[in-house]
Amino acid sequence: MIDVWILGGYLGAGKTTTLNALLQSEPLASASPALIINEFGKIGVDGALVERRDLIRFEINKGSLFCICTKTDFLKALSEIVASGKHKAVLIEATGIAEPVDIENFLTEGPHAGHFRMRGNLCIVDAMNFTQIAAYLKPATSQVRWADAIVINKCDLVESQHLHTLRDVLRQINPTAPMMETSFGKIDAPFLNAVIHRSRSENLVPCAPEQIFAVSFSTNEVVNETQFSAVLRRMDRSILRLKGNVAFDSGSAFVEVVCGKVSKKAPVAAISTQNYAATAFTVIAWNTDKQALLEQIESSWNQAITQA
Amino acid sequence: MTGKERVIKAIRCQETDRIPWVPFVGCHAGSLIKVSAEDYLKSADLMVKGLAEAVKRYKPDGLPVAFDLQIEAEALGCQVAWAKENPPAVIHHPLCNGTKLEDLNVPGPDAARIAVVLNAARRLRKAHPEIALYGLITGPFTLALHLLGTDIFMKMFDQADYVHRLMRFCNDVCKAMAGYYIDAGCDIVAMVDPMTSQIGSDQFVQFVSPYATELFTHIRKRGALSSFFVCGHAQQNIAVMCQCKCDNISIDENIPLEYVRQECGKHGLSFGGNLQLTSVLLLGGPVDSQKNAIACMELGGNKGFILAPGCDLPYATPPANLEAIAAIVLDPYQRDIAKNMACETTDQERLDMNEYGQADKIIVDIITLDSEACAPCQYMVDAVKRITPEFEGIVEWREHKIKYRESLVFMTSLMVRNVPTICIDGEIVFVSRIPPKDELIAAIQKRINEKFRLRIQQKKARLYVLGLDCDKTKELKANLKQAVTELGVDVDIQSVKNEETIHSYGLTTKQLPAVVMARFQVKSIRQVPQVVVIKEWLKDL
Repeated sequence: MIDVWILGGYLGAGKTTTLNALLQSEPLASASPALIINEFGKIGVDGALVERRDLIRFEINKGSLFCICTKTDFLKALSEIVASGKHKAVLIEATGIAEPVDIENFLTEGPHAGHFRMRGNLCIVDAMNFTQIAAYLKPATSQVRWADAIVINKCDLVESQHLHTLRDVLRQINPTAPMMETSFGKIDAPFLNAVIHRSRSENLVPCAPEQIFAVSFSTNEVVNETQFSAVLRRMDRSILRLKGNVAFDSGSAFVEVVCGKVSKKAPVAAISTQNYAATAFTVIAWNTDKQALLEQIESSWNQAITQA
Repeated sequence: MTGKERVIKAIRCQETDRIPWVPFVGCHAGSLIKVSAEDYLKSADLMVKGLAEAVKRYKPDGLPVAFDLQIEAEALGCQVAWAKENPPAVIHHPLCNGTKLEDLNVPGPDAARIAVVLNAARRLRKAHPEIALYGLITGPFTLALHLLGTDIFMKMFDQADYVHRLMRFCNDVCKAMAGYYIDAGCDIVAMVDPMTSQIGSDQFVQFVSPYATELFTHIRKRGALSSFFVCGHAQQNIAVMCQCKCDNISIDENIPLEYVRQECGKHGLSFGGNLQLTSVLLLGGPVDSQKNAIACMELGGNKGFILAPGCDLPYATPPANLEAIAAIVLDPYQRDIAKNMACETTDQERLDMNEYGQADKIIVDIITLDSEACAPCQYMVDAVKRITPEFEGIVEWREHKIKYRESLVFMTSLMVRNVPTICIDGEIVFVSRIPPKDELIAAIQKRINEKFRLRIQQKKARLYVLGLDCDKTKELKANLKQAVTELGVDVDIQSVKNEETIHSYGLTTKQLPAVVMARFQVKSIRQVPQVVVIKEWLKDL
């Protein structure tokens, strides 16, 4: 049986560093691993940055990479790996847009059943961007969901409150996988060695996880600043991010909220022009009902009308 | 009825004499004429030659001129890498490498390979007037991704206005491309936007719907028909795709055809799909392909359905598989034969389920497509998983994903026809419906009661009333009879008056009346147990 490691995570999460770390430590270092990587523009690990040049690598660079068509190339690579008989392990780089479920299914289907054994599914999470990307890119969440171990990278770049929220979000998506916090992609060998692959049925969460979702608002009404701030405080646990122009009764501002931290600066004209509205912003939230969020936030300008 | 008429009628949801067949032959046609994908996709002559071969061998009702989602991107400056057996891949995204959006212009009909495919389209139109020609254009979201790379997902929040401007530009390219194909004689413009499978329905509505709706309205105004192609895990977006005013929706094997039929039905749209590209068409044989096609045809029905693979056919797809499908599409007699053959194979593999569900525990089987990939399946599995703690030690559940052969055999053996389905001890209980908690608990409880009753009934026993004809013995006998009747158990009552027999039970006449119960247990059937096994039974006594 050939051990299979999957390394997932959105672009910029620090996957190349982790990939190099994995290849230089046991059990992979001595298993003459084959690499399957996606060389597709900017979405994959850059092959040139892989430090071990001696390794056999298979590149999947199909035009329609995001599609079922990739499977053909993937299966071909697996066949060659089996046929060569040289490899005890395979490391598959799953790009940010790959569904890990698909990859694992390829291994157990048809001609390759019995040749491969899933050893571990690692997911690298970018501490800075995860809560933002998860609202827009479905696989970002599913990669965390199916991970056997989660590495939160770039922890040095975020504040502790941010990290605390991120941990809560990740735990909700995947309650069981061991988690490690790091910077510069460093991973402890003991952490890696302790990774245990869990089958899907074990991983299945009891109910669908809370969605991380994005909602956009635009209005030409004047926003009551006191009311708006009160809503932000009240919904502190639900609002992960907010960004955009708000036309307050005290004057317009570009408002940005990241995990509870609010900052304001001069409004960005292009945002209002694009939306034909003085107030135009987007909120990324979780752990709440979308309708409730809409009503709460909209109350800060509807209330203003009532008061006027 | 010509193929072209058949496809057009089907797209308009009108009755047709049979289901139209549109194999998406892209670079696969290169393999038919023994040239590489690169040579094929760069030459109008080879496309015309390759597709003529496809027409001859696959007898299609419709064909795409080309299936290459990099044509527009390449004309807009994306660098591509070519492959022998695949369409090219975009390896350089101009907008994240210094090019400004303002510097990009909608390419004209003579730009790069656009001229090649349009040339091929015009010649194919002339050569095959009886076939519906599809002009495939890259959808605005996928084109935006080609131009900007995955930065687009970050920018959807950070610079939503920029993403909208980019989508506006890409949609202008789409409208221009649609116009070029229509002018070249194409009947249907298929907008292929696989990248939308990566986003949820809210983002789809915000960033894709306005542009897609505008594009499909434009195509309609130009007098052509439109199809919205998507592949990948895009089930979450089918409902909102249906609102984009296209005429048809085409999907791959990641989305259940039944679901798409249902959603399209609500909007009066036709639909197409979803032959399995890799596991069946590429790796399977002709009979597998026919079986898969029949399953799709039965689900799709005779009105508003087009039989097609889910995406571009792999270069190396064995032509025999596609020829086999053509045979059953064209000839209902052949279809019946294939259908019966298919049944025979499954029959041979059918499991003996006679004894299924007779174990002590209650077995809950969930037949799914795959709970990770299909939301209804996941929720059905979740529903069962949630209630199992209430029956700990009594109920066991398992999921059978029918994409695996053994699960499919299991499904057929239980006579299950829809997924997801819940079976309790081998009996079909919930079909395509996720039961509320109480209902599921009630169904399991019902089965527990049934089994309990059965168990009691199976516990055949005999009561020996040891005693003489005294009043006490008579009263005892009457009580026993009443108890047996009230419980409805299978127990007979025998009187023992012979003193010798009474002694053999270890009793004296002074101890009468007495009752001895003998229980019967079936220990083995249809076999001769070994002495060692029999000894084990006897040790239990």
